[in-house]
Amino acid sequence: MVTKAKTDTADKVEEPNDEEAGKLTAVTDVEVGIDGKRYSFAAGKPIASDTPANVMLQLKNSGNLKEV
Amino acid sequence: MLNKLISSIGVARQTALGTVATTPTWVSPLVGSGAVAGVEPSVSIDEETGQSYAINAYLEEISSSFDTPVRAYPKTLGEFLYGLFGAVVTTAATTTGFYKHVFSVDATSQTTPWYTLWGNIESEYVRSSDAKVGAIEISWDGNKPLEAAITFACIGVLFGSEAARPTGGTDMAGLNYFTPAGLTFKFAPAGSTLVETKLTKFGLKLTRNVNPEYFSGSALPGDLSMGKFEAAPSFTLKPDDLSAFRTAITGSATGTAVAESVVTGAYEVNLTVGSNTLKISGPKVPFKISWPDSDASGGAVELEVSADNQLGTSSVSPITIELTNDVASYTA
Repeated sequence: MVTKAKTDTADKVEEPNDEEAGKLTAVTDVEVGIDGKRYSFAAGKPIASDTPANVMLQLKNSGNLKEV
Repeated sequence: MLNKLISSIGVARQTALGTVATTPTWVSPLVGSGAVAGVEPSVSIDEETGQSYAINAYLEEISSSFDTPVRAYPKTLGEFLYGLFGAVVTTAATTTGFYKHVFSVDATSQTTPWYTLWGNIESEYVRSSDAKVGAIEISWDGNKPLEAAITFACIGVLFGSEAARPTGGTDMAGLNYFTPAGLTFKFAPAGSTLVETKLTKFGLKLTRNVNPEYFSGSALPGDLSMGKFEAAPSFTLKPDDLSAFRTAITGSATGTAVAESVVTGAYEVNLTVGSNTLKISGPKVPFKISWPDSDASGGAVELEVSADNQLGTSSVSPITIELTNDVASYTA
């Protein structure tokens, strides 16, 4: 079912910038569960630039994202 | 006679809508009075002329929401928080064998997991499937243990022996749960500089405003829709002075006039039980504090602090809950 509120906020999420995304790493080994999917990131390894924006947001909110 | 004491709830996450789980992951006793299922038909009497009494009725909707109050067991609290938030970030904690789970609200994703719930009163069974966590109210009063009241909404309901809870699942009975013992509470009526503050009771209502959607042809909901996420904290202080009130209303501890714009503050709750920890952070909260009542019988002034909702930004969650326990993953 399409939720009405979703369209209101969709444009407010910052998409990961390709240039910046390559420089971002996870602080520790981390697992992100969102939208019924599971994403794992190894500490210190660059995060792929095609990682969904909401996964990046969860990493940021949890303090597990750092720029190198 | 049937005894309402012999009742518990089994919980398992489904892989998808319509795929009913086969074994429970968790089994939890209820605390106080609550429900393990919700099946309430809404029968309307037809308004027809022709005789002085009604002769027709119709079934319009069957309500399938219910509230299950449980203790805040570290393992199951994480499952219910995942059910509500739909997002979790898990890392290894410093204590070996423990994991830190960070729950926060995603700005645009409204996907939360589906659950199968097995409830019973003695050998009367009901299985609710395609269920979602609609709300969680975490609260305590004084030094009484935390209560987590979970509101579920579901689409499918099954009765009889087929609905009996299959064996399996980790039973919470007898396991330790969170209590206010060792609590640290920090509060900033305005701004973000948190100061350790004593309180007497605390409540936090988290809701996703999950609504059952009914379609012509079936009295049971055909889907569940998601509304806005809301987090409403409330707590009671017994302060030495009214600086918290003054700060929240004027924007400053030395303010003399009511602020004409919104003043936002913050709070942080830290609880522990063994190596399990629970940290709730609200970084931007428009608190409501009223001038306290005077009372002819005397006693300490009680300052009631509450907020209708907590605020986030386009990229920062309005609330973050960090739970450390020995569950390796809630998404596996």
